[in-house]
Amino acid sequence: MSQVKLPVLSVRNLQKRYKTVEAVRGISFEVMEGEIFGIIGENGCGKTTTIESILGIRVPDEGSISVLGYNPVNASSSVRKKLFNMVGVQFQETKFQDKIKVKEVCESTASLYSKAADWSSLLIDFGLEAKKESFVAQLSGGQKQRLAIVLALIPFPRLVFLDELTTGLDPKARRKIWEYLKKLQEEGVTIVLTSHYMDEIEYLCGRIAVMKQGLLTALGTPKELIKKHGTKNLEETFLKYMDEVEEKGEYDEE
Amino acid sequence: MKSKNIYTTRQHPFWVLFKTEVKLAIRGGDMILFGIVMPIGIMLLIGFISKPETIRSAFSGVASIGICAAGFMGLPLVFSGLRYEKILKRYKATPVSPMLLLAADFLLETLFALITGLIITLLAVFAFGAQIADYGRFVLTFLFSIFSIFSLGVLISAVVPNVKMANIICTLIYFPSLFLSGASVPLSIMPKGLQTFANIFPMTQTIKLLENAVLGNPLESDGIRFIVLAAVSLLSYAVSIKVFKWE
Repeated sequence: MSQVKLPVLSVRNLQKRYKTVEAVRGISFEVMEGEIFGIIGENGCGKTTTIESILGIRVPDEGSISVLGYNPVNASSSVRKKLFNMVGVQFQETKFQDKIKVKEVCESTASLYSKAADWSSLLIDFGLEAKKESFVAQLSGGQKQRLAIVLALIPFPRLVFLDELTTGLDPKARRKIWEYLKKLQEEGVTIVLTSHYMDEIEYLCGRIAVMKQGLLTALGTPKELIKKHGTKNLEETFLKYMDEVEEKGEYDEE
Repeated sequence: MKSKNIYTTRQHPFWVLFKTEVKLAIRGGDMILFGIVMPIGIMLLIGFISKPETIRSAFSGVASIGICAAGFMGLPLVFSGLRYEKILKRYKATPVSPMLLLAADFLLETLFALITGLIITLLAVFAFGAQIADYGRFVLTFLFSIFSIFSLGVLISAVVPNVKMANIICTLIYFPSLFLSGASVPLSIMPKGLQTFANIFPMTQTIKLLENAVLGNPLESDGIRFIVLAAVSLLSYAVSIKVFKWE
């Protein structure tokens, strides 16, 4: 750990509204190289909008974003090419073309990157080697989720986004994926993830951002946040944060 | 870690995507059935029961069925499917543009239309003795037909909100185009009123252009048809690019 850690991702005052809904209302944070950074919050709190803005899929109304030194907002094709050759993404509920096979999805994905991992070994690492010739539609929910993670790792990313990392996975598969992500971290890969499983966040993430109603309520290491609230684990801390939201919401209505 | 092995494809991503889309289309089967097998059946039927003059004036319509199926079924359904499954959105976070995937599908549908056109024309000419007055003009007109009919398919794809809606719109356009434009039933045997009504279908116009090329009718009389179709097509493509919904 002699290297100086630099921010690979920086978000400044990000705001995004859809028609009348203010999805993200001005958030700022930085993610350092080699970190596993978690974004937590209830459904609809703006996690996915934040990630999609960082990826240039949504154009923010306000604020600035820098990813690996590039601005993803309305990026030119040459910037996109350079940037996304270093970024892997697992979207929430990844869907696939009808009647496509596992190996075909991997092949197509690998072809998009200037340097791609040997996806056959990734399939082995994620317990999918026997499914190579299967139709994606025939995979179980957990297998599809693992395939989505494989696809995110195909580009040899320096930065990986995992939106709802282990939704639909059994405990054993979750553990295996945790170990894999820790190994990636050791190799210097930066990981940004969202999850509803607080044990997972507590185990994996060096720092977490708690979002509620489009704002950042807390930012820190799991230990710090737990200590601040005097709870016994992150799940209870999380629930405390969310209760505050509800109480406040009730006041607003009065 | 095992995954450190680098996997390199020498092929351009376009061709990898194209190859996959070809496989998916063949597995799907509907395009083969509606775009290739059905027109061959219709051609054989017309060929065996009709007089040579009828075959000569009718086969351009049958040759266009592939254009109709690819333009009004294939393109909109594939494009809206890619959007609905959020595959286009997924491509936005990769080094290549989602346009590349759409381009691969556009090429695939073009090939469908061309293959059908080629098979039907070969059948008409070599099995049933139909003569084509001007081959060059026929080929160019066929390419022009693909260009214009596809423009409408792309426009539907660009604005349609979901696959279900794409299905409804495509059915509403595909079947009348198939039956009333002279593609499967020759226009000449239809009542006058219906013939006039059929004129509003772009397919009717492109088929007339092809027929005139087969029969060697003067090109000048097709001038307005070409101009109107070209203008509508260019407009459709321009609007499509402008308003295309990526998700």
